[in-house]
Amino acid sequence: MFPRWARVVSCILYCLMVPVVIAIIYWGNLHRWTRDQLAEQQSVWESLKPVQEAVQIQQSRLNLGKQFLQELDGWNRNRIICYPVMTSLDELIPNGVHLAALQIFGSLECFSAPQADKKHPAPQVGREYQFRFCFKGDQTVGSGKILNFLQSMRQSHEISKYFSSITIGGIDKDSPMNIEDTVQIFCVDAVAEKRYVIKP
Amino acid sequence: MKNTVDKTCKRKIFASVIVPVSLLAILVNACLLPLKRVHDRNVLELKELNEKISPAKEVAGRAPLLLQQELDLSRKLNAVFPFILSPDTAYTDLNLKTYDFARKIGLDLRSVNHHPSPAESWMNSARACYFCRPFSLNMTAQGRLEQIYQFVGLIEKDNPFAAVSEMALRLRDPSMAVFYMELVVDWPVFSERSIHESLQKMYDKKTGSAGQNSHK
Repeated sequence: MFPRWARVVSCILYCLMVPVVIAIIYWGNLHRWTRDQLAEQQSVWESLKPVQEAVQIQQSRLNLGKQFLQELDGWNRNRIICYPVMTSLDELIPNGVHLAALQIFGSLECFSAPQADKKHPAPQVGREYQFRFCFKGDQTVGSGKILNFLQSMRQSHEISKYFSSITIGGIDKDSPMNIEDTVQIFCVDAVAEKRYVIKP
Repeated sequence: MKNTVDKTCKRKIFASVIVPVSLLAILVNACLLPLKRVHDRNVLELKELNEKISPAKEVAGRAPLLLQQELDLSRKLNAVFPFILSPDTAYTDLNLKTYDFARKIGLDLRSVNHHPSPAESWMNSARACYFCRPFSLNMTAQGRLEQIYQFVGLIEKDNPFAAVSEMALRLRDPSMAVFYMELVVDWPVFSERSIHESLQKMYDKKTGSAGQNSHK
């Protein structure tokens, strides 16, 4: 005799097969759909890949050019254009005062060594200009005249736009430039702020 | 007799359980699981492709804009290339130029020399970081103050990147107001010839002006 429980178990097992078959049909269709999608996307990617590569090359070329221009801009900005400074100064020099000597220091300097971090891979390069103007004045030139002259230098746009500090560097009657003992030698020191090639 | 019946019955029971179990196992292991695995793999690949495609589409969309930017940039670059000297010819070019300037304004240019400045040396070692390095020319001259100012003005006007690096002016003859000048000027030169060549090649192509703007 075939027992009842065996029939029930067999029936349940065969019934279980129905959802499995349905799942197989479902996954089969899904698989076909994803395969088609994949093929489609792959063809899209194949067509986009060379374009993307070309654009990336173009972008890196553009970045290189921009960096170069940025650096050149720095080369332009880090200099002090001396001509307008000197001609403006010439106009400001009061009567009885003459320029005896001029010294400019503005060599390129390395302000900081390159850092290991990505932000500062290059050494910080720039100029820190210092101008020293030495004047000689006759006996009519008193300290008031010198101070007025200093004030007019500070107010001159062509000079003050570059220099953060303009001070009297000293008054020296014993200067080697002082051949005649009657003249007064005084110096004006003008110091500009650091001017970087590439802004830190 | 009873034994044979029991045996047949046991076989039937065994078959009625084992056959569907095996069928189920075959369906699951041979069809369902591989299908799912392939599907999952495809979904993963699709996801990866989509991740690549969407930025690629965005990048490709930027192409016309980039082209325009590059054309603008090449115009700017071609405008500045003549001011950046070649390290090979800088000395000769600048010598000729400075004497020319001095002659123009009647300044007595006594000497023009090139002694590599400390900045030139260390900028050489920083080649990888900068496109340009300074090329310094030391000059001595004597003349009136206006002539000296004009000379410096001409140098500065001629090249927007040339900078007075050091200058010393001393009154030589007070009666004639003649000054003696020592001047060091820095001009930017390409750190390496290859940088110059590659940039020039890259951007000459765009404007079709190859060679026209290259500096001597």
